[in-house]
Amino acid sequence: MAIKQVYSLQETKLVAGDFKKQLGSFSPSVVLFFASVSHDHSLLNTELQKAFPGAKIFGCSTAGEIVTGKMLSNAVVCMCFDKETIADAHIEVLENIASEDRVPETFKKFETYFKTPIKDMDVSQYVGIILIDGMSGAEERVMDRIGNLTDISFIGGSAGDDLQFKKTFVSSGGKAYSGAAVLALLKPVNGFDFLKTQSFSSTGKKLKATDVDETARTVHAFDGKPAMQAYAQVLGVSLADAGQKFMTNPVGLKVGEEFYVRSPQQPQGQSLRFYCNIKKGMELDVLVSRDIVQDTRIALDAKKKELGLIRGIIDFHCILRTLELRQKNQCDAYGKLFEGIPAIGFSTYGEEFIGHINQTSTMLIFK
Amino acid sequence: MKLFDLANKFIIFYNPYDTKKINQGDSMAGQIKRLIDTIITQRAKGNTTIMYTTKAKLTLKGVNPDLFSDTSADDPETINRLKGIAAELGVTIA
Repeated sequence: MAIKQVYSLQETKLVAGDFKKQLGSFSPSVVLFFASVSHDHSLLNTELQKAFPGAKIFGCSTAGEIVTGKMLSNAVVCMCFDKETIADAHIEVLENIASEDRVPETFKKFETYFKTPIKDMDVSQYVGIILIDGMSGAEERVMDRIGNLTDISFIGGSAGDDLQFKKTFVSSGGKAYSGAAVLALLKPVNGFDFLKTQSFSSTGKKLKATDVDETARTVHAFDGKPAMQAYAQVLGVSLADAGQKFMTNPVGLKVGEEFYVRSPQQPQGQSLRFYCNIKKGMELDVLVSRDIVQDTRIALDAKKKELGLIRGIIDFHCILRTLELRQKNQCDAYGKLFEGIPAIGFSTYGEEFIGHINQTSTMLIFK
Repeated sequence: MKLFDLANKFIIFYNPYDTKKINQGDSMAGQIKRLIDTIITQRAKGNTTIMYTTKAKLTLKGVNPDLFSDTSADDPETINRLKGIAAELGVTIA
């Protein structure tokens, strides 16, 4: 029984062979990979499919990769599961996500495969992974639709392209797609858990969105004032300096004691564009950043203590967190948090857990 | 505090043993909380994890359950929004 992680810094056509060599006699039934866009994703898919012909393979492009003990660039990281760790899995691709709602038909396919209506599937037995085009702007809608139709948790991330913001890829069945999402429904043998961690506290100050363009992820006004002016005022900085606060002072929707972070992206005149949507009437806490490495260590230690044994972790890690870690020279320290645990992850253009969120790590933990 | 909240508190405060008047007050407030509770209860069916995720889904859809109590005014816009959310989540509202 095993979950194995491998990584490769080889050129694309050699990656699959490199993985096979590292895995030796281990024969995976499910393979998940995250790869930099410096690789040709069509070629990578073809080669992986050739190397692991019996496996169900899926993955996506990244803005940086994570593997046990390391944060990497221009790499391919891969997690391999055997039948004794994932009893069954089915993977579907949703194309044209920006204009079409294909979630219901995808769920029908899951129902056909697992021979169970999605509403009757035991939420403690099944878990979903979503990998979605990070340039599609469709994450909120797709996650909302998923959440309407099932209580099974789907966790994942928005594919990246090494901060080029041009084209991202999701992959399944030996093919790479853009403008698409991959949904995988897994049945882990020993159960699973989640960890959602974001290193922010509330400043105690609030902003209420009073005029928004939800589709454009833009807030025109907070509390009846132009959004940029209100944001600058609440932080006590000039309008000219407000942009410098975006990374350290995002806003958060509070659910219980948890924040669902929405990160400012850029001013649009007097309006403020975010990396995920904000609805009219939402009351948001103005947040202030804390130490990512320390907070993630505390969260992981608590989870280890709670679960005893962790067999594997998939970390969907916001690119904004990665940028902060790079800025503070903390990438090594972050990578080391996962030492001793089979782990892979990637720097995302947004994280998915219940909805679409920012500046967060959403982790799927295999017990 | 909205007018309906004040009115409701007034009735309850001055008529603590008058069931009829308390009920009249209830009919003017608290409907949002009851709708939220119905959605969470029907969807979760006693599962505490689903209770949390449903609460999070409601918040992300624009209605934060923590902001409403039994005395919150029956704001028609929020009630309509919740009825729409209930339909999306497959919950039947009586």
